[in-house]
Amino acid sequence: MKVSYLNDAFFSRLETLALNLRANLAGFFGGKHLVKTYGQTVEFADYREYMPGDDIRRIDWNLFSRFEKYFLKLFTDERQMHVRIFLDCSASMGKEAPQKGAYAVAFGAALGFLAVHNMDKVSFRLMRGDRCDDPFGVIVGKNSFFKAVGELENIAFEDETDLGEAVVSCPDGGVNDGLSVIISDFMTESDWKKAVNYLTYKKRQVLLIQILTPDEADPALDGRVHLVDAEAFGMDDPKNMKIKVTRSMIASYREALKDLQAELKDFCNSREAAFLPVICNRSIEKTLFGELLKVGVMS
Amino acid sequence: MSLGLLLPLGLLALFTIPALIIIYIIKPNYQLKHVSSTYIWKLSLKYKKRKIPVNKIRNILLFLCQLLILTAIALIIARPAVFYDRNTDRSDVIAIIDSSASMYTKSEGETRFHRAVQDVVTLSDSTFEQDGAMSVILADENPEYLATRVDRRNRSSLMKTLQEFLDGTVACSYGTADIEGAIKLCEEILADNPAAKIYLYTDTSYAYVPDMIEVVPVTGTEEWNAAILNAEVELQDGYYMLTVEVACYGKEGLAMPLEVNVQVNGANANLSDPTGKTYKFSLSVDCFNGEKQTLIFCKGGGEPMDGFTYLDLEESLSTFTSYNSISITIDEQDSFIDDNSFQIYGGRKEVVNVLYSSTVLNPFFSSALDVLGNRLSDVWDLRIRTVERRNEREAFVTNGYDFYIYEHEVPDQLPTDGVVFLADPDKSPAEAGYTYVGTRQYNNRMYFSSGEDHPLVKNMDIASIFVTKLTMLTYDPAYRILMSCETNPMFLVRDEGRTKIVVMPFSVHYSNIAELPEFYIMLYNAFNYFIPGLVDGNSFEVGEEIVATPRGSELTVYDTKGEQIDRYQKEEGVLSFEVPMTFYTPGVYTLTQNSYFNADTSDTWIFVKAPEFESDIWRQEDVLAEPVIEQKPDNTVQEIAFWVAVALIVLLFAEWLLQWRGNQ
Repeated sequence: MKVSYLNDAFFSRLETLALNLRANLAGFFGGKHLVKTYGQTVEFADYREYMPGDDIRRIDWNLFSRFEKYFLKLFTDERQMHVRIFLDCSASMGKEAPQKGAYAVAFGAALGFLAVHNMDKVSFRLMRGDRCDDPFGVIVGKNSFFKAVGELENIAFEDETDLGEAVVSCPDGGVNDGLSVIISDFMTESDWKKAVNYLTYKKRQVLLIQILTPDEADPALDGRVHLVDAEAFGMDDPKNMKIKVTRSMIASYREALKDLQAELKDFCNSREAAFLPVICNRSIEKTLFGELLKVGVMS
Repeated sequence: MSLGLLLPLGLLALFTIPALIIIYIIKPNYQLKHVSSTYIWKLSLKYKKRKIPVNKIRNILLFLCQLLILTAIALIIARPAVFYDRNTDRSDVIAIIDSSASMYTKSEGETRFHRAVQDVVTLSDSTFEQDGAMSVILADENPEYLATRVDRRNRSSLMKTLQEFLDGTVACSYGTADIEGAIKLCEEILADNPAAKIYLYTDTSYAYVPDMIEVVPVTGTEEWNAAILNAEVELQDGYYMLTVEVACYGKEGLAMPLEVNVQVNGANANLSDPTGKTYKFSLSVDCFNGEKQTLIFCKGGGEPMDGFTYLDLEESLSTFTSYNSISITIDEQDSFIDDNSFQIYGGRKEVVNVLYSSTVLNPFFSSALDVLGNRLSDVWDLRIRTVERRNEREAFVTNGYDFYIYEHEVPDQLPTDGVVFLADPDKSPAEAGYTYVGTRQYNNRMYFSSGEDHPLVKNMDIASIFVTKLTMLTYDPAYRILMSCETNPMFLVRDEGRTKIVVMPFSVHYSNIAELPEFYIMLYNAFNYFIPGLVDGNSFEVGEEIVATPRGSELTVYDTKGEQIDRYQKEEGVLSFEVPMTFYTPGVYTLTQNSYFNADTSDTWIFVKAPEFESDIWRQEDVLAEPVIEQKPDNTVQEIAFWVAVALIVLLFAEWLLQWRGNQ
């Protein structure tokens, strides 16, 4: 059954939000994000002494009258940000739990909407296997965005994904030009640390979002169970396993999940990235308005 | 008493067990569950892995529990019960045969024991004729059943056993009879059949006999016994005094004159007369029934008084200071002959030669050895020789002694034919196993600390000894350190085969040991450990435990006929060689032991006699013990389903517990 969170009411609620960027931005196009370099806006930043070659129109004559020296008036600059959303399209994200896939798409779309709403660029990178597809290119403006979102709802979640390889092999990774978001469940043996390292090396702000279903966060299994992995090829695949689920087993599962999340969080902290675990029975608005505000990605 | 089932068909419920096994085999497979990823589940297994072996055991226990639960249910349905064989209709007869030494009393050509067995044969025949069951108990020191509830059909084995007693193939014991124990044995049969009748065939008469027991006397009317109850020798003023206790039983109202004959063999042997003399003397005394008379043979005699009769050996020129053996006999044709003679050995003590060699003779050593000689005079003839070496050219004495004590100067080559005690050695002799390092003097008292636990330091207060000067040694691992001062060994012993060396590396002049009894105790321990007395005493009773402590590595025991009956060997590495022995037949036994130092063997003789009170062949006791009959329910069948149900509840609880633990 197809699950969709994306509708007009959803996007209208997001219009009050904007993405916040901690890092400096490189680039040429003007946008809404203040940067530390000086530019052409009307917001005063600083003074400096005139140097030969400077535009004489910027000389502050009031200061010259007082000090008999030439001083230039400097203004802040604003740049456009490029938000890259890496969406894990492996089978574990939506084959067995369509709600999880839909939630991941909606979360990505919400972040994308915030970008285009603030006159930023956005691109959706769909990670499959060890590659990264960019089916919609760079999206600027809401028309292009809604067109892309319409197609985004139809993507298929299948096979496995190597997060590290997919991110590294992605063309047009960009350097110091905005936010990169990786949306996945991170239940993978692939090297996700490699992806984070690569993106931080490119001086991009990084946000990892772990999407889990309620069953994954708190499994309600009991007795002897044959677990079939969504990414498994047939019943004999070693990814499948037979276990007897007991209370201690559930406790061990919780402990393992907690350790994985702690590892993700610690690693992100060490790379000045942000990590946000999300359970998909929680409304996206609450997560955006609550958790993302807390980690400082949203303002 | 036996176990059975009132409803055996109930065992059909056991067919549920195969059903259980089938359920286990076709147990529903794993429930199929599709999940997004098993990644976390696989991680969680690492947390869980260590508990897997316990789970396997739990599964086995669970299956066993379920199996037992089904079995218990089947048993409850089958109504298990205890069936008591309380066949009181059948005549149950128990015969107890007294098998004490006094049952050897003989009159009219047969012993009391023979008579008792014949009576039991007769009783058995009459019991079998009445279709009864016969049980026979032989009551010696350890009573046991000869036959239990034998009936007419299987009587042959009992009759064969009784015939063996009559033929003399199996004999009566020479010890005592535990009649109370035999009656206790009867309680097993009485529990099943309280109407069983007990017959006790004995020569003891009882003032009170319980109703269910009938005492059948097996005594003959003319039987009497003249007995030597005990005899011992004691040194008095250098001469031996012989004391003999005699008694007469079965001669009512008559003063029975008993003539006690004594023959002393090998008396007063010396170098000129190594075989010694043979003295014979006798003394007659009037004995009344049951009265003990003491005869004393000594130098100078004594004033006769009630119960004591003296013979002055000096008058008959028969005083003796040593002897090989003393034979005491009564030449009477009485009914019990096993107490008519008595043998005493140990009159010629083995000589132990002790050498004390020193540069300056120490009166402390000499007096300690004298005290030791007196203390051990009843075991050894301790001959002590002291040698004072005044100059270095004088040769050491290194052979011909059993115990060598070298003080200060020690020979270059230690003796190999005896125990060597080195006090304050000035050097390390060849093959001694230690190396002399030097001396060390202290300004204060250095107290000793204990080393290994060893018989040589038994009863010594080691912590009270101190030195102010000591000799430092290095030593082989073969030495055991029994005392030490700081890290220096202060008392070492080496006990390997023929090498027996004790080293005391300090001088008594620089120690307080001379003020303490510890030195004497140490010497006493050394003698007891290296040259122990073989047995404590030379006459024992049948059934008495004798502990022999051979000083060599081997002990051989020969019986009265000179046939070897036992051989004991010391195990390697064992500190003490103790041989517990018990003899069951009266007579003279020879104990032959070897020595560590030469091929010589030495013989020790011991006399084993029947217990003294067995000589009283007309013994009377007050009360015969009454058997206790176990109270059992009147009905002969008692259902035990209740107890199986209790077990079932326990099993159910255990099964629930295992299931609960499994789901944790």
